[in-house]
Amino acid sequence: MEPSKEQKGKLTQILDTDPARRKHLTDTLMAFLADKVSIAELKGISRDNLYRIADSGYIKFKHGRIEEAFKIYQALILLDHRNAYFHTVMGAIHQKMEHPVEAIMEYTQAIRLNRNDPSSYVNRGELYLRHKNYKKAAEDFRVVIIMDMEGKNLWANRARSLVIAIKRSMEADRARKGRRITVR
Amino acid sequence: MVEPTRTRKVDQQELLFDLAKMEMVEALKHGDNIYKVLLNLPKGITSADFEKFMGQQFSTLKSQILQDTPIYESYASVPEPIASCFYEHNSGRSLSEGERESFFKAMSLGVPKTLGKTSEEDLPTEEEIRQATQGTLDEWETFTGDMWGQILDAQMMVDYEKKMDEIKGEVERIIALAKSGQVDPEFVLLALAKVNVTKNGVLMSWLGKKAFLANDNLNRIANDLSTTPTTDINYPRQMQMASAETRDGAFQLQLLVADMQKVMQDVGGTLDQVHSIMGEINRTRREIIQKLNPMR
Repeated sequence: MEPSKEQKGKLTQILDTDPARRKHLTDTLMAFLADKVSIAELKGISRDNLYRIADSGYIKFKHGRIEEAFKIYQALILLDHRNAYFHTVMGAIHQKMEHPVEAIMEYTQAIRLNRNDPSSYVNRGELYLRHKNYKKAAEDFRVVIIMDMEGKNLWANRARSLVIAIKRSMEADRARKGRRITVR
Repeated sequence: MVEPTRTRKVDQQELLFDLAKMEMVEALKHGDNIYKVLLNLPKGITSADFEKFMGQQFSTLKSQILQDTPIYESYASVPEPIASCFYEHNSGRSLSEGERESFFKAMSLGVPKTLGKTSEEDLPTEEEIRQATQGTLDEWETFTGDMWGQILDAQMMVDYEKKMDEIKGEVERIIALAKSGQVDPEFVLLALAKVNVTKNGVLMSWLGKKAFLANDNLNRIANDLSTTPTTDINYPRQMQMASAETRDGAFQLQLLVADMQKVMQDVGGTLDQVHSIMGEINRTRREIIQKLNPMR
């Protein structure tokens, strides 16, 4: 006789009498505590579903509905904090919302999870550039330019153009300083 | 034999179109917009000519200036999601419905009881809040008390190492100079005395800070006791505790003062010793000079 839904639920509770199952559950929870498993995995949310939600959020972001995109990606990060793409988009959302500190933190997290993502490097570098941290900006742009030596990647090309911006900005700063000294 | 230069034969219509171009450009320059220009076409020019002209202009611009696709991305742009951005989930990791319920219930145990409650009975009373605040303050005071001691110790170690590093090089240089006969041996004694005094100075400063903390603690105990009304039911108990704590504090202060005295004695002893050795050196030097030159 097939067990009812209630009986099945009781059988699969954490206090399962089956030692193998208990070990498996303990391992899973330990992995969750050690940051190796996401809530999406525990909840059994499929990759396709996450992809669909991410896509809808991206469309909103692309069309300027930043607040809505922010909510969607906030939820996605909560569900799967180990996905670098979510952090990249969250960084861009913060960047558009003029929250540079949060944006840099998100991009840094994205880079930590995926070192081959040029968009995170370029956007972070651009934030550094805007705040006149030329050294860090140049480091980020250098990484992206080295990633794509053929000039095919759009973000790498942006990095190339921003390198020129660094140079101009530094020259302008120098000229400003020179002017100030002359005035004194 | 001279070869004749042959030019390309220009088509009649092409010639006419080239001539009409000038008029079209003029019409476009002075017209408000293209619709008005098309309404008042110049003589001998049709709308098809305009279309052809515009087409030519577009192809020229496209080949010279415009690009079919962007060559670089814009500000704060990100690529659209692709399947490879999403790693495959391990299906064995997912919990069953019952497990999930138990798990998330267990996770919510750390959430404050008042969270999400709306009715007034569920809210903490004023007394509960006061007790919780007092508890937090006590914890904070214990924490800072422990922390201060550790901070002072760490500061002392850092200060000590810094000072010793500074002095070490100086002493080595003086010893080398004395060995080579460039300076008198008294300088070495002075340098070593300086090392000793610096070392003891750091210790003295550390002990002073500790004494200040102990004194501060005693003051706090006295203040706490003075703010409690004598009619309070807890007053005798607090009085007893304050007395015990004061005794403890006073004993600690005594120990610190004894340590300070020891440090000062050490410094004094070192200076006396250096003084007597220097006197001895001078006396011996005078004796040597007198024996070498008895007439003097």
